[in-house]
Amino acid sequence: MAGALVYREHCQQCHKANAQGDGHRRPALRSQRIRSASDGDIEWFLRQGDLGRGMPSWSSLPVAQRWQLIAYLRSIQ
Amino acid sequence: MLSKSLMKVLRPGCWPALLLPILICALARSQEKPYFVTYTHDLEEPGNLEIETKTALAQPYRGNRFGATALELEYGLRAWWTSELYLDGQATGGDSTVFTGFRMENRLRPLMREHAINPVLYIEYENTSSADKTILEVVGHDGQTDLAVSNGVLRRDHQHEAELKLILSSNLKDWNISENFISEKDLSHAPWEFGYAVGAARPLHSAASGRECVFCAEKWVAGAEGYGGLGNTFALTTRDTSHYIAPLIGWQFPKGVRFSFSTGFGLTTPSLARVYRVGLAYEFEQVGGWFHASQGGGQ
Repeated sequence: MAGALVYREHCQQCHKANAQGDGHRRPALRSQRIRSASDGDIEWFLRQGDLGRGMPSWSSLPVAQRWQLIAYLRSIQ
Repeated sequence: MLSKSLMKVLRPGCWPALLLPILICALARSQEKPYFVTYTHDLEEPGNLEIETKTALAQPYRGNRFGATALELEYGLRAWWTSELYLDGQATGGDSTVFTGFRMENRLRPLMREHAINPVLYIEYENTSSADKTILEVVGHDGQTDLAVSNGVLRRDHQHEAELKLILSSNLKDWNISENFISEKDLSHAPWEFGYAVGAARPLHSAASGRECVFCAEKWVAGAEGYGGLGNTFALTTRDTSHYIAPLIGWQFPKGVRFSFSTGFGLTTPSLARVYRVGLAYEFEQVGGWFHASQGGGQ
């Protein structure tokens, strides 16, 4: 799955290979919050980031790769 | 294939400067744009350390060919704050190889969200000699005659400079478009000097292919940047200074080394006819975490 490669390349270093985060400032991505968010919400958040809380903006990722990443996040819930 | 003029610049004496970074940078990754002069609003991820070399190869009119390398250590202190240290050196054919100084810079994103245009404030202190030929910016009335003087003479002149940049950058669809406004001041006695840099780049293919590949199109980024001087406080002008246009290409190696190359074409008489640039980058992930094992680095 293409999104898995994108995840490994850009997200895994903080959110860990199992997407469980570090239980501290890097949150788990297998969570109710992700499950209840719409695809559009997640895409918006990826593009915006939250610099104040340490989440970089991923607006520099090509649009298609952001959507591949969202598809991957959905698949691991 | 390398052009004749590039091969002329790449004489044997210059190869070590190019090959050493390749040997150092065995593995790495990053997804930054392949600009050499222009900055975008993409900062280093918090806790990551990127080591990058930027090498400029050129030959001024009636001067000796040279290769100048800036070794760049870039650390993400916060998601909105990146700090960098540059170590500069150069080798000039028929002359000498010299360490030319260091620079310290900080880039700060004042807005915590993504906007159509994203400002970044850039603050730098430079302690370099006039022998510095890395050409990481063009300001004032910089020209190729400055680069044709022997290292022995140039090294006597030492500069303590402050540099401020306003970086404006946008990611539109898959394009990055960036504009930098540069102002530089010798802290001793010189007037403010000004310059600019603009760039646009995009990946050759947007979607990831879903397999590990070496030459697939999404690993390549192509674009162009333009940069030049804008005179100083006495003469704010685009005349009598250097201007360049430089097509560029970036390649993300499979295991993470980022390679970039550009050929800059001088547009005015004071400009160098050609400037070839080679860049290599390696990113160490979560270096902050090595020292704060329980938290995995600062956010």
